[in-house]
Amino acid sequence: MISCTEYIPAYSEFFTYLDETYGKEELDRFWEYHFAPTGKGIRLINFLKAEGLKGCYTYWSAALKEEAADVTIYLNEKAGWFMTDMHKCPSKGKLLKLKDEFGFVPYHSYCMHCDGYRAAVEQVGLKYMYDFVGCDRAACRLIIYDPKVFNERVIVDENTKILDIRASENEYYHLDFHRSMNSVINYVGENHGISAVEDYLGRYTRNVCLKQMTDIETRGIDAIADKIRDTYEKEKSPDAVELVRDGGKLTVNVKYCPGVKYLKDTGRIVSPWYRYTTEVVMKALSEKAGVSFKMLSYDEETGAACYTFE
Amino acid sequence: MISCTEFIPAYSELFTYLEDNYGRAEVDRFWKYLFEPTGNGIPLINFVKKEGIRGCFSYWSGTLTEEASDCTIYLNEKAGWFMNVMYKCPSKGRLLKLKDEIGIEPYHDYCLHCDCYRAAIEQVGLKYMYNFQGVDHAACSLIIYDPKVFDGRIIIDENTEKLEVRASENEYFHRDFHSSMNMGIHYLGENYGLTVVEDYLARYTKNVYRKEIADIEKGGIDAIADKICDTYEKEKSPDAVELVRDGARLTVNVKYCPAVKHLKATGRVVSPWYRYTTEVVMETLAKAAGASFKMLSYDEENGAACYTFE
Repeated sequence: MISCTEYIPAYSEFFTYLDETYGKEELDRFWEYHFAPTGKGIRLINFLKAEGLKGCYTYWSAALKEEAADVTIYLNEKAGWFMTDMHKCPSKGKLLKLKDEFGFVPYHSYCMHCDGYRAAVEQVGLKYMYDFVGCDRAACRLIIYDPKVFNERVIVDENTKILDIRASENEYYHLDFHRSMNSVINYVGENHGISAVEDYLGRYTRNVCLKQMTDIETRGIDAIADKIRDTYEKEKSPDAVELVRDGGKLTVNVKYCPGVKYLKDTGRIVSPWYRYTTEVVMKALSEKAGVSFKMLSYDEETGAACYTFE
Repeated sequence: MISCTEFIPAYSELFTYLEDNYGRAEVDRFWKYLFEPTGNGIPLINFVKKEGIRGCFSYWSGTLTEEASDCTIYLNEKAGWFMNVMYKCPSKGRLLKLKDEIGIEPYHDYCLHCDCYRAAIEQVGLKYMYNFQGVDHAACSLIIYDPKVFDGRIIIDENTEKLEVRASENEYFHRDFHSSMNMGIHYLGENYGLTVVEDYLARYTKNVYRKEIADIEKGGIDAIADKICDTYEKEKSPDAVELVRDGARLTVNVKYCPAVKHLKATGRVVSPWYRYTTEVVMETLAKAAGASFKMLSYDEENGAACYTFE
């Protein structure tokens, strides 16, 4: 499992992987798949169907709080418009921070994936206008409107609901990124097979995890143990994992996978490829530490697993 | 003549005057008249007829430089969009400054007049979306797009032209405000007659020239002379005026009116009511000084005039 708090660089790396390996058209196909408003994936469509334009406000006010965005959200149902004024996008902001910290290269058109919400919005007859100017500094603006009502004037008046969300007031913890990770890994597995899954996850581990684990070559298994504990702490599920150190061996007992638990709780189908987000990442860490890795068991139902480093 | 550098408060005061006396609908009627894309008034229509969406860039890059705005202007002809991101509008900024300095209240919907450029834009088949969010701090943004080309995404790419306009790098001197003043006074005169023209201009003088009037109350005719010299300096036409002080009398010889000169040079018809922008303003200042005012001559052709204070 990749913690939902660590999902964004995995997402960016996936875009880069698809573009470099199969071309931009393949990335566009992925975005189309990922944002398809089926009701089972990204939930925006369910909100829109239930509430119309107001569903945009309901959906993004929650998602952007969980993502600890710096954003102002506006809704004027009477005038038929919704707007997000993103002052600092938490996702792009995180990628730019990683760039500063260890030279991570965000996917060059990372922000363009947000245009994928258009599919859900247009399905219910609303219009979607995205202003990507400013995305080099993690800022952008989105206007969604009802073409039957909106008179092309965005005016803040007594009918306008405003929500200011500040990163400093919220915790970065958006569990639904597990849904996205599940979608990513299912797409690559179903369309390109196990070697592509391994390639992509190996690349992610090298370009993100290992860049942050500067001590893995000197501390070996202990550094890996710290990384695993940190992942489950970030996931707010330290009870889900038990680490046993026995001489030169580390045994990791995962009682349940918080990612799988979340997916099941929200009615999603866990991809058969999801297990590799643990297996391949751990294997890549072990290789860097110069130790062997064994996946002894994995329960598809709960994500419970047992694996060792030696 | 009211200097083009002093037009904005006159504009705001006119909106307030119309609403206070005739209701909000009358302000809308005036705006419709002022922005009517006839080709003889606001020149935007001439630009967009000639150049299409590029005409927006040509028109506003000229005017907003002359108005010493703080804004960024974008054009992507290939993708069919134009955008102006206004960080600090020189007009609203000026009104907010006057509010701080002398307590004059800007017209409450001042910024909405900018929506009226829509008439010219829509006449050539383009679409106009105005975002007035931010007008309380003199910020706004405008998107104009070609509905046959634009795909709902504002993306800066190799086809995007960008112009940064900075107030600090430009002089505030937009001569074409004389056309707006000419049309404003013409509207008032034609629809309501001389009493209303006088009423509005006296109100403007008392409200906007509060500081000058305080000086005039103390300094009398000498302070009026300073005000007149200042107006022609601001208009970059000190040669247009000659002041003769003879005992208690001040004689002002205007050789030509810089505003009339601009109107004629740009093919506009000078309103028969235009002369009152001198006559009523000067008479109001004279009253503040406790002096008499006489307009001895006024040449409709070039705005040359002779008047005295005593």
